[in-house]
Amino acid sequence: MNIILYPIIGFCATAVAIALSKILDRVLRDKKDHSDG
Amino acid sequence: MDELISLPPFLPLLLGGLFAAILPLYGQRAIYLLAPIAAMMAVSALDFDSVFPVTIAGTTVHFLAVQENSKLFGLAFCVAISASLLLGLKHAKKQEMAAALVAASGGLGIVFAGDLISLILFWEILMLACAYLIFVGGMKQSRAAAKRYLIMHILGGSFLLAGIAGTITDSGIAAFPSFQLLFSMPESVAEWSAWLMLMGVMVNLAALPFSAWLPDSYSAASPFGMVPLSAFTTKSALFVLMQVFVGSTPLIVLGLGMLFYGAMMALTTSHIRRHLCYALIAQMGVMVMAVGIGSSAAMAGVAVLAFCHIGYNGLLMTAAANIIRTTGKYHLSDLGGLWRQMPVTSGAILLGALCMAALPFTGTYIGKFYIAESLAATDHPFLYFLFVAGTSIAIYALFPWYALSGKSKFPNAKEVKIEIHIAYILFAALAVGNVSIAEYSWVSVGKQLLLIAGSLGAFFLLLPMLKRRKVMLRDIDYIYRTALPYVFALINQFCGVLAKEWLKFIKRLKAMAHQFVSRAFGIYANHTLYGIATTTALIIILCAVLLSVTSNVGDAIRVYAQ
Repeated sequence: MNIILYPIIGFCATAVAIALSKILDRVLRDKKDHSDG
Repeated sequence: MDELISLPPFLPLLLGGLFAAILPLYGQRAIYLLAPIAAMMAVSALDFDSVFPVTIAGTTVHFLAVQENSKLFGLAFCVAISASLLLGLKHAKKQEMAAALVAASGGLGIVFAGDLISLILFWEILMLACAYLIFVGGMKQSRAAAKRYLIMHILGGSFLLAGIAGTITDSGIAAFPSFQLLFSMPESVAEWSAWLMLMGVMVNLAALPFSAWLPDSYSAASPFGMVPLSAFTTKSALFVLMQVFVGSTPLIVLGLGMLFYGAMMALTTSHIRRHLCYALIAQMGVMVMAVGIGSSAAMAGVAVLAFCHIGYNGLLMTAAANIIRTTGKYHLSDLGGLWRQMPVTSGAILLGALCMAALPFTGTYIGKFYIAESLAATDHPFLYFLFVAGTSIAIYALFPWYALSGKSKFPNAKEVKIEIHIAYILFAALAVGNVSIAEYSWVSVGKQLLLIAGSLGAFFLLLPMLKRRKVMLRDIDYIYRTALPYVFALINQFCGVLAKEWLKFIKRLKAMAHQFVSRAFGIYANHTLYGIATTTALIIILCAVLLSVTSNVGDAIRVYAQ
């Protein structure tokens, strides 16, 4: 694999992961507060 | 090869744990110091011909065998328990320290188990010790979480036991088997047993769909308890996976699921301890994938990664425990600017996060490099892409970013005591200690640095999207924790109807019996000689008929049996 592809793969993979985590956040959010851990 | 009777490393820790629970303070402290050192010396003294057979009820159980990687895992466990005890020296309860020692002995017992019988024995010791460690955690939800932990691990232990029983019945020996599972329906007893064993191991590995117990129970333990808890259960299960299931293709899918699920949940959650638990699951997913690939490079990678993981995970867990104790805060969104007040703890967090992200010149890099190369060599480039996404530095940068950067929110926070600095050093030695410069090529280092640079670019660009909210996330256990009460209610209703009908039937039977008895023997009531004689004759005839029937049936069974 061409060396120039590595930062692009790193960027795209991280962006995909963050976008997916935002969707998960909407779907899985629990309304209760658990502030004491 | 001549067998050499040696001291099994689990013994000093097990005895230490039992005595620590009853000895006075100075005795306990001596045990906390000496037991891990004795275990470490026992590990160092072991050789491939070391054994410790014990005959129980006519069966010889091998409590000691040195497999490939046993000493590596054993050494890491000894260092991890030493560092954990140092952390808990001033702040943990006596029961927690004793339970941590027993849990460590269970972990050591598993990695040095000589056969499947001793494996299941230590598996259960580890489970009980960990459940107790959670139970005495002193948090609001500790007791309930310990019960949930027990339920889940009894299920896992039962799967493993059933698998072991099947394997021993099929092969006739209790030695560790080797299975290479495929995506196909099991057909033989051996294959069914292998799948059952794998399910048992999956529970301890926190693999999907059993993963929810890990963040649920570890975050309910005391801040100290989480450090030893995170060191032994998953890693000893990984060791069993490495011994028995190398090259099983379902593990690649399973590991990928764990990696992605752990990474996504870690990115989403704000709770410090849950965030670290999900990151742990993601890292375990990488190792499970590598065992599934099964090539020699992948297996070398997973051994190094597991060793380092005990170190950097310990570093992060210890730092989190200290931050929680100092600030009283449990959420990333509540933290900020701690590097000013807690520079040593901040250094530990940074080192842990960099190791987790596989920065070159850390031990983790070698492990992940081998695994990434093995994945890149397969015909599925998307596996490599998912691997990069799941191991992205963005996931592991969240904790240091929120804890250390920004304005100082805790001007009165104090740095930890000297004994905890030693704990940090011990964990850091595990995390980076096995780096060999000969393993590096500058091209691979350059590739990894470019990959990290790209990930960091995306992290800083999308940082506003990663703003933490103080909310909890529903995990997979939400499905069974909400569905199970309905299932139990249905069963209860069904049983209620069944019991009602049963009572009706018994009532009717009783009435019929009463009617029969009063008709048949009512004649007694007359007290006449004729009545008594007739009834007695009736009873004798009945007994004779019964005896004849039973003896004929008995003869028939005997003939059939011959």
